[in-house]
Amino acid sequence: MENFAYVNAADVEQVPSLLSDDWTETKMIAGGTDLLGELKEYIETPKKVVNLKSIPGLDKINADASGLAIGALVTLTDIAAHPTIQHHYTVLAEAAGSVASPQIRNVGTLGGNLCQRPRCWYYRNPDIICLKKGGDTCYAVEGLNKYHAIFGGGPVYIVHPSDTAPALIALGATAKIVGPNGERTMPLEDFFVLPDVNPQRENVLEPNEVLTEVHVPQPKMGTKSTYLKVRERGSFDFALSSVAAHFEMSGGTCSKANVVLGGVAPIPWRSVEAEAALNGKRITDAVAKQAGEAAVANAEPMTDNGYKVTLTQNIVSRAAMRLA
Amino acid sequence: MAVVGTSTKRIDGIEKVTGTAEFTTDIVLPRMIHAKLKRSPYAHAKILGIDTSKAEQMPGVRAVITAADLPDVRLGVLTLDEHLLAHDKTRLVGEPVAAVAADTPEIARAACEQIEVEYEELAPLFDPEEAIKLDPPVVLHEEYEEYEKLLEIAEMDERPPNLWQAYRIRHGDIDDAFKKAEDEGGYIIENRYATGYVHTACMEPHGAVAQWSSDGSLTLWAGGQSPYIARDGLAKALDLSPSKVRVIVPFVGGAFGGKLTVKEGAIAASLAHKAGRPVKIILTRAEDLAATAARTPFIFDIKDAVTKDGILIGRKVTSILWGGGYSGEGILKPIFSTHLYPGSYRLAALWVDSYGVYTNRVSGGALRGYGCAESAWAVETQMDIIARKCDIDAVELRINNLLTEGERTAITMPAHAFSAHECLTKCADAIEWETPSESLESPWYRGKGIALGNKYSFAPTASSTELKVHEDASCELRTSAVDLGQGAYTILTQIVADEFGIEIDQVKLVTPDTAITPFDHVAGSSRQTFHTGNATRMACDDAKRQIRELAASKLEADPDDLEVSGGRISVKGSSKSIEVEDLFVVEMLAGKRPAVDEIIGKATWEVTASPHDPNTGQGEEPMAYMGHGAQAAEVEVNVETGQVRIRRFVSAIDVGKAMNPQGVEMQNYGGGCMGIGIALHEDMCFDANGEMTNASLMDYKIPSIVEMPLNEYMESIIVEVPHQHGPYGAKGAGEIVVVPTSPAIGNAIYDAIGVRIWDQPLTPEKVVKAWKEKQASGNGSGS
Ligand SMILES: Cc1cc2nc3c(=O)[nH]c(=O)nc-3n(C[C@@H](O)[C@@H](O)[C@H](O)COP(=O)(O)OP(=O)(O)OC[C@H]3O[C@@H](n4cnc5c(N)ncnc54)[C@H](O)[C@@H]3O)c2cc1C
Ligand code: SF4
Repeated sequence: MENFAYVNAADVEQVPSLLSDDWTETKMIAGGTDLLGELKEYIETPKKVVNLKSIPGLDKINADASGLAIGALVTLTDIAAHPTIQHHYTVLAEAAGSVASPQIRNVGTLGGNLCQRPRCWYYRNPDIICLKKGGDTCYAVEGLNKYHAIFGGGPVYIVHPSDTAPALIALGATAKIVGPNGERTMPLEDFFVLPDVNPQRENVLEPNEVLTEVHVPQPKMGTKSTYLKVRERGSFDFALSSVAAHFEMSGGTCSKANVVLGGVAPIPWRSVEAEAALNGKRITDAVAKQAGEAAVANAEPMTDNGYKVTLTQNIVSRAAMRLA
Repeated sequence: MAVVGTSTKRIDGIEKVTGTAEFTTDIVLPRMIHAKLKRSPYAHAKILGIDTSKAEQMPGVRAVITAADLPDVRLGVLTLDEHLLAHDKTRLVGEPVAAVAADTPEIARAACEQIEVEYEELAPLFDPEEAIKLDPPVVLHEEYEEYEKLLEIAEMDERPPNLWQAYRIRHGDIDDAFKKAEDEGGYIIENRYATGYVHTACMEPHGAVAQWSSDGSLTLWAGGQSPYIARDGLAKALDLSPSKVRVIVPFVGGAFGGKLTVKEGAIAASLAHKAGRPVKIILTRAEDLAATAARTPFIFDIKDAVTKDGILIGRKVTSILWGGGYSGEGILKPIFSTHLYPGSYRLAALWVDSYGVYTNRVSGGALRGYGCAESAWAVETQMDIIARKCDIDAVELRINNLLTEGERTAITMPAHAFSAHECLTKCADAIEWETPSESLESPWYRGKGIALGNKYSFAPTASSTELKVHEDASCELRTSAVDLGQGAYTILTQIVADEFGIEIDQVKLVTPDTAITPFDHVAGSSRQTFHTGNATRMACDDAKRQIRELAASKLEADPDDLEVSGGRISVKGSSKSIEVEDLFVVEMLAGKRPAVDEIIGKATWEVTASPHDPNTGQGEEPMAYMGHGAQAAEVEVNVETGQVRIRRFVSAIDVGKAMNPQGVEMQNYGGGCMGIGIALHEDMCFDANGEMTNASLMDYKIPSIVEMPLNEYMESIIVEVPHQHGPYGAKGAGEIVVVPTSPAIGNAIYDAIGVRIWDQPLTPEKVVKAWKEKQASGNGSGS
């Protein structure tokens, strides 16, 4: 990898001043499980790397009546093993526990998980300058796209790789961001942006902004949630398709369904179609089946990824049945 | 005694787990610099010019080379078709066209980017069925006829211009067999199978360190499979006398067939010569996966004639090996893959046409199982289909078709130490073959599958060893056999300990170094225990003979009446004895020296063979030995997600004699794991330009621990049917363990959900697709 300067951030407020407003100049590092790969493969060649791990206090989970506050440096292992998260925010514990391998979860952080870069194999090839990297072509369109988007694609067709993002969006989380002009918060759902807004980035962050915390509201009584992920290999593998389902139930009826898909679109993909098929319904096998069909009704598969439509349909139905 | 046959801890275990074992990458020499390769971005292109001037001027750059700096020789295993650095043409993405040595790998990399290569792009050719045509759209090697070839291929009226291998088997009357099947109510079963692109993906990537001495001789450190093949390859590539080349093999982090030649080493050597400094080259993971030889795909068209009672009477196969830009180490695969067509079965008629062709993709190399693991996929899936068609149990059907000891297979290999029956039945018992799998809750289905396999070990071949006896009665074995992780060093140590009746730690191994250790062919084709094992035993005998002769006068006995064991020489049936030490005399200031001469036993073990006739596939005894094994899997298939879990796995292999039972067990487990990866996940993907898209261990999916069944569901069975020529009866175990794996799993998937997937790997994508098609058509595909 190229040489770079390495700076420890003392606190959150200092971070924006340590970062450049040019993406290519500086990078933040948390667990480094994604960034180091990019540096070693010459995908990124920053002049300076700012270490976030030196910031005290960002590695805490606070659970109270208002919900969960999870610092950006909390590891995925800690999220997956947290008893309150396991019981009341099940979808998040399951999603965090499905990431990569135990070793990566031990160092990988929530902030890094939400801000990780795409895994598209053209993007990860240092010799290819595709649209995402400032070039003018998305090579996935004409090339091999079996792992690419079936929703929301164009002009780039990556899928968002994060497992925790769909879970957090299904739970209605908000994100806290600190930048040169102070702090801002927004629903995590709005944090991610489609490529037609910005083909080169996956979220709203400016180069000198840092994600500091995620807040998750306490789920209502009687809610149920789960995360299902299909992958080719049983460990350290990204989702071919995943579903985060979080249902508010009253009696046997689903009063409000949140269905967010992972691995199928450039952002975590809320399936309003599946939600509509479930809202206000008693979840029977037939309803679950309809939800699966509705989820993929508007899918736009590419040349090699039609099978992901089938997978997505099946896991949405399966998730609904699991929560029935 | 009895060290052989007892589970023995790996002698290199402590060094490896404590990190003190030295691999190529650990070697650091004074003034050493680092090399990087400039690779072709095109699958097929003419090289019009290379401008290295900018790179040469960069600070820290010590040498830049192109083909112009190298002797104009073509290299290869048996068809010499490849230059070290691309000459006038590149024939695959990633082919090296130039190389740089610089103070750091980073500078070398940056300098490579400054090398300007002018290409004229040519149309690439990827489809093997296009490639094999008599008038293909593209010809890769226009000068093929002029190449040096060390192997005769089958005669053809006209050679398709992209063909580099043709091999035929003509045994029995094939037309009669099909006619008989038709006329007598039997079956003709015809299917097409394909294997995928698989890489050895060794934990240690390819690399080498090269250093020249002032007398113009070269030393190369490289973790390869054969120091002598490497030495001769280097000598040829660099136009040196082999005596000027010394190859030292440090610890090797896996090879599996992928480290037979030392292309990178030769380039490093050339750079080192030009720079006047030692040069190290270590490939990146991406280079290793994308640009070193792979197990390239086969296409098999197979047609079987079967009687109504399930007796195989004829088989016709046409296969194409999808070779790459160069014939490489894959050159013999179209031949070796045919061993499985008869396999362990009696076949009255066998008719095979097997080809290998050039295409503009990565070159074909060896990978554990060398062609047999591929053809087993076709053959053993066929056997399952036949069993179902004839409504005969799949184990019984196989047994009904087995050869018996002493018969010859349809390719004239004597069925000796024939253990197929034992492997198969033990394997079936262990997986409780008679009991169908339990049904699971939707969407999961369970099923069982079984398959048989063989692996022949090639001949002619030879191994030599030397055994020196020290004054403290410890023994030093000098061998060029390489321990790639398979445990060869431990087994050879056990043999010496056994032969001399001494402890394991009284044996020292001098590991491969062509300046010291004698010839050994290669750590490949499951041959080290068999051949080097024999040579080691013989060298021990030779040393013991010398000891007996030296001791005879001291003991006043006939050498034939003496016995050497545990550091003592004793007269049989008497209490008279002396120590080995007594054969040495004290020299002033020099400690002890041998009284007469150094005690060094020497031996060469050689197996000759009559080559097969490439036009008929018939010969005398074509191979050194034939290995047997069976594997069974119980799988769980999720029809909604296509995920396949291996619930249970049994591997029963015949090793003749388990020299180190624990080592055999590790082969069963490790091989099973590799086989599971190949069956289910591993798949090199190439885009329309011929570039590998998933050249990382994130995207090229080797199995993780999660892919393995739980401990209690993973069973290793050791079968021991001794081979007449094996040391202590042993035969090899290294490759057979991946041969039956894929068909066992594929057959289990069929048992679970009633679908056949014909092309490997059996990914979730293919499983859901096949299941959907089955649902749509209302029945299963296949059988
Ligand atoms: C083999 C492998 C398998 C994987 N499998 C999965 C998987 O199955 N599912 C999955 O979701 N992920 C997977 N990952 C991605 C893994 O890197 C992330 O899950 C991990 O959480 C990243 O966290 P980190 O702290 O290591 O991030 P880092 O590598 O430190 O950072 C990642 C990126 O985010 C930026 N960043 C980090 N923290 C912040 C912050 N607070 N504010 C703004 N930007 C920030 C960095 O600049 C960098 O660009 C895998 C990775 C590997 C190497
Ligand atoms: S999907 Fe995105 S990252 Fe991949 S090639 Fe297209 S633009 Fe580049």
